[in-house]
Amino acid sequence: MENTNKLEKFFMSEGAFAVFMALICSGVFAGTSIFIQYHTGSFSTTSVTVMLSEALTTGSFAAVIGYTGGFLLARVLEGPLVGILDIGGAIMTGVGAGLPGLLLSMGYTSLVENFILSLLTGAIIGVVLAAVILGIRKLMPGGYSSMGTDIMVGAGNIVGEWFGPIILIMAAKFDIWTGLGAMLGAVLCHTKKSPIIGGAILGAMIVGYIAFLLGFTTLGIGA
Amino acid sequence: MLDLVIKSIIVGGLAGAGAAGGAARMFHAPGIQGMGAFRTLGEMNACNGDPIAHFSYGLGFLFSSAGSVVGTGSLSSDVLHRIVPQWSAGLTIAATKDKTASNNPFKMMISGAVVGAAVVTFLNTLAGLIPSTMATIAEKIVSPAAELILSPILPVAFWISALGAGKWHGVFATVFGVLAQSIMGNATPGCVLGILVGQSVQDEGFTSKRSILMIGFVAVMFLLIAYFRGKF
Repeated sequence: MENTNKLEKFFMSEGAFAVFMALICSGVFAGTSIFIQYHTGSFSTTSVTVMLSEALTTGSFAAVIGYTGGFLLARVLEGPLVGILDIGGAIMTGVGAGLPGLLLSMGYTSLVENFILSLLTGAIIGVVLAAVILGIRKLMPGGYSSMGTDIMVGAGNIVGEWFGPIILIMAAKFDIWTGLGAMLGAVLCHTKKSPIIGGAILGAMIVGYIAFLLGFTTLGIGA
Repeated sequence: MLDLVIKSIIVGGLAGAGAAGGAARMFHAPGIQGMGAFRTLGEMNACNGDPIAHFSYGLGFLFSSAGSVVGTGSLSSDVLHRIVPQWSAGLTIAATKDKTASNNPFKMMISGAVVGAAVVTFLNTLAGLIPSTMATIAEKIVSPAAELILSPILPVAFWISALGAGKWHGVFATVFGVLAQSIMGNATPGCVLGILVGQSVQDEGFTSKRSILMIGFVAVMFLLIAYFRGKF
């Protein structure tokens, strides 16, 4: 009991932030290693993962690095100011896609592609980022401005709103059955007041698959 | 397959432990540094210590993440933003029968390792086992949609936000956006940087240390990227 209390106290301390950063960055960075090997398991958001896939096939990482680097910088500067580091922009996108892209483009491929090395690389990145963030917290006087984060959150919300309807259009463009399925799923989600994107994707897949099995459509494959 | 399962358990356990522990620390921010997102904090508060609410909220996102992982190989940001924090909170509260246990970073870290390992392994192998027809459907629908998002919707969204935010945001987003489009092939990073620099110039003026540093950083970054892409 005594030991548990000590542990609980330690993980409430300022410095323990570095432990959590090492854990999450190690996992997310190595997740990208799995992604390169198996094409599954990337922790980055869907659109950034698509960017990373593109970069891996074309060998041109500039767009990924540029996009994710800006976000990583902004989030690391913002995190210590508000007390909450946004793991979406900083870790999933920055550490999960930007930094692997950077290392790959510089030729340090084994740091990313070797699973054990990728775990270590990720942990080191986590500790370094934690040191920067805790350092800024020590130096920063109060009342720093918001880095325009609210504006970017606004843009993120716009994109989030567009994603659902675009899935619906794409589903209907691909096949009438996937379109109907997406429609059904989106309507169900919307009436339950949850985002329509999950329902649209799953609906298109389930109804499209059933229609394919029943022979209503060939889906353009195996006809 | 075994290789993928073992790696998924390791990666999921590590990332889950960090995300859940960091999420618990959000309840104590800004006194100590937490991590997650403001929306995650709000959503955890909305479930208000009820394990069933925490579990069902996360479950909704498990399905959409399954769609994403099949379509693109991305677990989607919902795994660490929503499923792991919510299910870890549910598990911690159910195990300790203490409604405030989700605020304890140590307990949440342990639950997070279990939840993360299970969810990541499930998603990674489920995607591999799903019928190829299913994967084709996801690919033909989700991938073109994600491409459209990448360009032009993403840059346009940032551009509109920048133009609406103020004079300097709009000016810098437009300058950097056009440069980014021609140098990097996508205007988004330019628009993001434009918002950051614009905010700095609006808050502190052109000659402040921060504005000069940021403009210098952007200039160096553009030059480096142009060099690596063989633009000169």
